[in-house]
Amino acid sequence: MRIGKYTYGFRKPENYVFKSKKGLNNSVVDEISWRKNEPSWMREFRQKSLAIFQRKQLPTWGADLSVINFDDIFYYIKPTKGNVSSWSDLPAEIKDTYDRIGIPEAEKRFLAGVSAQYESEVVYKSIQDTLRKKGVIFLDMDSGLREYGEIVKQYFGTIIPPGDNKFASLNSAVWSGGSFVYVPAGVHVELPLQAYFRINAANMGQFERTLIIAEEGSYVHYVEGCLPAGEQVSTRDQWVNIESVQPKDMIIGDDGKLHKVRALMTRRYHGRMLTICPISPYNSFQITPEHPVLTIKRSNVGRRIRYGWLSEVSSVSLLKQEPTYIPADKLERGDFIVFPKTQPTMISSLSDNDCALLGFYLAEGSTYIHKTLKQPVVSFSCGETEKKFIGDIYRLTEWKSGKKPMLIHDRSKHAVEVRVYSNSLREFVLKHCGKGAATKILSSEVMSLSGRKLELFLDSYWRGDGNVLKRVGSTLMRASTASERLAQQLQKLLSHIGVYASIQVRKAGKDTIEGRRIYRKTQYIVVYTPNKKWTKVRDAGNYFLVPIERIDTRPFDGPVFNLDVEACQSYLVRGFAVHNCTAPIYSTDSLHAAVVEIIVKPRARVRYTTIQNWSTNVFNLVTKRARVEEEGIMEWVDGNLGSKITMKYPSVYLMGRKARGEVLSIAYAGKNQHQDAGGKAIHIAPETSSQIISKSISHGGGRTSYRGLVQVYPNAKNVKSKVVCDALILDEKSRSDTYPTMKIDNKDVQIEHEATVSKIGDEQLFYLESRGLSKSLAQSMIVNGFIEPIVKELPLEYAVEMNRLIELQMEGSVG
Amino acid sequence: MKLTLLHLQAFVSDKQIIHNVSLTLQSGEIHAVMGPNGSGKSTLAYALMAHPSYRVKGKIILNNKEITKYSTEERAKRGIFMALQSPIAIPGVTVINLLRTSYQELHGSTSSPQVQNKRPIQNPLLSRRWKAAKITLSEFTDTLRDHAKALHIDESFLSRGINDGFSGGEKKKMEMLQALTLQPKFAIFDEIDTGLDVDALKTVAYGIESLKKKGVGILIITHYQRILKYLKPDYVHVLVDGKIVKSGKAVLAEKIESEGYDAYR
Repeated sequence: MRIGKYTYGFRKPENYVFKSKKGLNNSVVDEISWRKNEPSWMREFRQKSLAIFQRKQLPTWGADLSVINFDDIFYYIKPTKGNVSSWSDLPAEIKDTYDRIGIPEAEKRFLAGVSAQYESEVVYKSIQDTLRKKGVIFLDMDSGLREYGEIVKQYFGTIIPPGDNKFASLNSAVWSGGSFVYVPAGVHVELPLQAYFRINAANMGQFERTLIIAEEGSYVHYVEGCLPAGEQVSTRDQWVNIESVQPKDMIIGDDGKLHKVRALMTRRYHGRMLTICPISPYNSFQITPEHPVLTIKRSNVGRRIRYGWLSEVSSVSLLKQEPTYIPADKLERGDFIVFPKTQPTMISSLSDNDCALLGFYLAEGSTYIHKTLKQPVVSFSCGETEKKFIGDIYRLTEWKSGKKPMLIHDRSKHAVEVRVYSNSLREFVLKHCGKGAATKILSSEVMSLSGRKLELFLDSYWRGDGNVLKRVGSTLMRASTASERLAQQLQKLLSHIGVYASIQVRKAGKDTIEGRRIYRKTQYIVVYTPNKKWTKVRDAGNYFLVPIERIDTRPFDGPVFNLDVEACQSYLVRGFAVHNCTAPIYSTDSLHAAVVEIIVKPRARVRYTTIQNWSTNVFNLVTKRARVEEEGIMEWVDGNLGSKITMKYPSVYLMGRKARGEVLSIAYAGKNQHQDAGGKAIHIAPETSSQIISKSISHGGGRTSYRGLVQVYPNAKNVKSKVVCDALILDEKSRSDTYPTMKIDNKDVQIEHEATVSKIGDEQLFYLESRGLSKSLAQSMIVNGFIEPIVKELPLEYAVEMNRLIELQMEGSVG
Repeated sequence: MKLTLLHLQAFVSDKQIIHNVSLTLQSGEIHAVMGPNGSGKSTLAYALMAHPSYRVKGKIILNNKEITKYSTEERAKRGIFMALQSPIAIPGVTVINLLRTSYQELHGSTSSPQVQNKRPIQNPLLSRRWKAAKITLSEFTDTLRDHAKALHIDESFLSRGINDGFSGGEKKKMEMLQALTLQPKFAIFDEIDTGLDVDALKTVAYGIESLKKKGVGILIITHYQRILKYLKPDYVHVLVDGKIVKSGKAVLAEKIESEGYDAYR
């Protein structure tokens, strides 16, 4: 069976005020500058840069970039009419995109500020008052240019001139967005400033430009990230809360079969939350408006509309129609959503009698250890008039336990108890049904029953717990249980025999039965009609089509969850099929060519952290450079996981005495990825020091290269530099290279260079396995141990994310 | 409990190293396998732990259950432990993290299905996982510290990468620490005494003695009888050219010390 097609890549519909033509020439550059209302010096700067770009050759070293077609790229897209000042003013789809990449609304309250780049322009920013009071400027680059033109003009392009390399010149010509940060002298910004970047359109270039100026004695940590970012979902035998699902768990997809979960994604969501209520109120589920749900629109299959009712539906066209994924927002009352029948996953070894006995136990049975006799007891309580019922239970328990049951007649309660002391029977019923009215739960063997055995089981259950309402031409089957999980399981079991049962919920509360006041637990009532003539629910073979009764909307602020499921890209929420949310999928490559310039004044300290996880068709070619003055400190922490090709070598130019620079770099290259990363330290002044630590991991045919430069000028005496580059290769197909360059023009230096290349050795694996670890656990431990020195430098949420991402990428590398 | 080797043969590629070794190790016994260089002592240890480089014929039986086909991990989970002669370093995987994870894998996951089949990287600090192992994190950590103290291992070693930059003696003591902490049912010590000074040797012998007291069956594989000065084995087997040529009580070890192996070739 194939339900629907994978049409949603989670690319938002493009809705732009202005989109430049593809390709690049003088008029495109002029138009960008004109649209942005820039001063003439910037337009001239762009034009000059364009000329350099057109002259410059692609680098002849590093990764192969010849496949980039510069004429097939949109260089500028303006998403909305000007910047907006508050979150709520943002267009809904842009907010959605932000939500999806996890801009945490609540986080903003404690983070110093968030600036997010949606395609080419920063459209939303928030700066806390505390920042403003300290005189810190944190703006998108376009606003920075507009509001602080003089400062920008003084520094822009001075650290990375357009002529530096082809991609720097390209960025200089067409840049858009990015951040402008200015920290006044002596100011310490304690919380990291964060920015998120994301490419949303196919063939889109992203050319953000970041300029950070840290005045004397100041401190700032800037974090840049692109991190892609949920109710109950069906697993093998039961529903579980979505947030408790973990990668590698098996859950049921829209085809009713088990699939492996690749990832659980979570994000904060602030906005409308929809509650979709199908027939069977218990199966109502909550969902964010853009989340696709497998649906047939009533409007596609409807016929005439009578009175004010919903339109009638042609069963023929309904069953012919193939359901498709439609955003929840577009759903209406009466539309049909899909409830796949789950397929039993194993052959049950239970016999007919077993099934009948378990049904009785489920309805009327209990088991306990007799306190004084210390004997295991299985007991069934029946009404005294139900002679046949008592007889059946008696025979089955005797057959199963091999012991003669006792019959205890309690005349005051008009009840007969069938009791047997048997440990084997107790274990049998515990295994398959559990115990306790509210906590009974069926074993996977029971859940895989089908056909006649299932009917036997359900029949005996119904004789106990259920009641049957016969009306003319129709029978209503009802069973009431205090166990929520049991109700879910019964609904699922019934789907095996082609019955869509509704679950109603009767809330707990005080109640009166025959004059006695009692407190009743919440009851779950499973209802169905076996011989319906007409029904609102249609059986389409492998799934039921269930109409929506009601859709409610409410505001929501909190975490939401989403699963990434292998093979079928979907999962079941309270039994209904919904789609994965995934990062945008583009068939064509995108280009990201950013420029980051940082000026670290005397005794100032700047740390710049990047975790990039672009999708694997992005060329990530970024120039990052910092100029460090006397006793200043610059730290680059650079994590490269995604992208097709990354070429990035954050640099420190140590211009003042005792300046210090550090580069920490992690690269992870999987299949079809090439991470060419490293760092540069240029010692111009004496007594300067630098450290470059690079860790790379390659697997599945991926390739990592370390490329680094340490240069010491003739006047730079007493320089210290240390370079450590370690590579870990996970399999034979993968590759790692090291290209260190040293240009030392001074004898009075202390240079250390260490490089190691290791494979996860059989001996390491054997050692950990001999300690009881599985191969995959052992591999993960080795990899995590390998990157640990860098991960511990990351802010906590990035460290967690980094470990999770690496773990995800590792999947399938075992073997 | 007992661990039985029945007509065990071991091959490296096509070369037969172990010919037909049979022996039975009972809980609480110490067996010493002694032999000259190249007699196949280490091969015997690796074969018992299912190292992938060794092909094995014959039978290995643990309590009437044949485990010859079991993988290294499965054997470990059934309570077999091996202290390696020269254990490999794994930078970044700290001793304490390895021991926590390992303890949970050995004592927690098999008995409790809810912690099985989960993501490969578990946070070993989660109480749920300790619950399955029937011990709390702090109890575990305390026990670990006590063992480390008894073996004269400085606590700072626990947060270092396992064997990363450790000296020969430190590595051996770290193997001993693992044996004590992980509570195996049978422990194999491959040349645990080589490269140890007298103090370290006594410490290791003390460790083996306390394992024996807890009922662990012990197989010591050694070239010299140095460690046997501090430990009294219940049985001594002489391994020459992959065959057990003589078995006897502790006095056999002294005899070898004075006469050498030549008498058995």
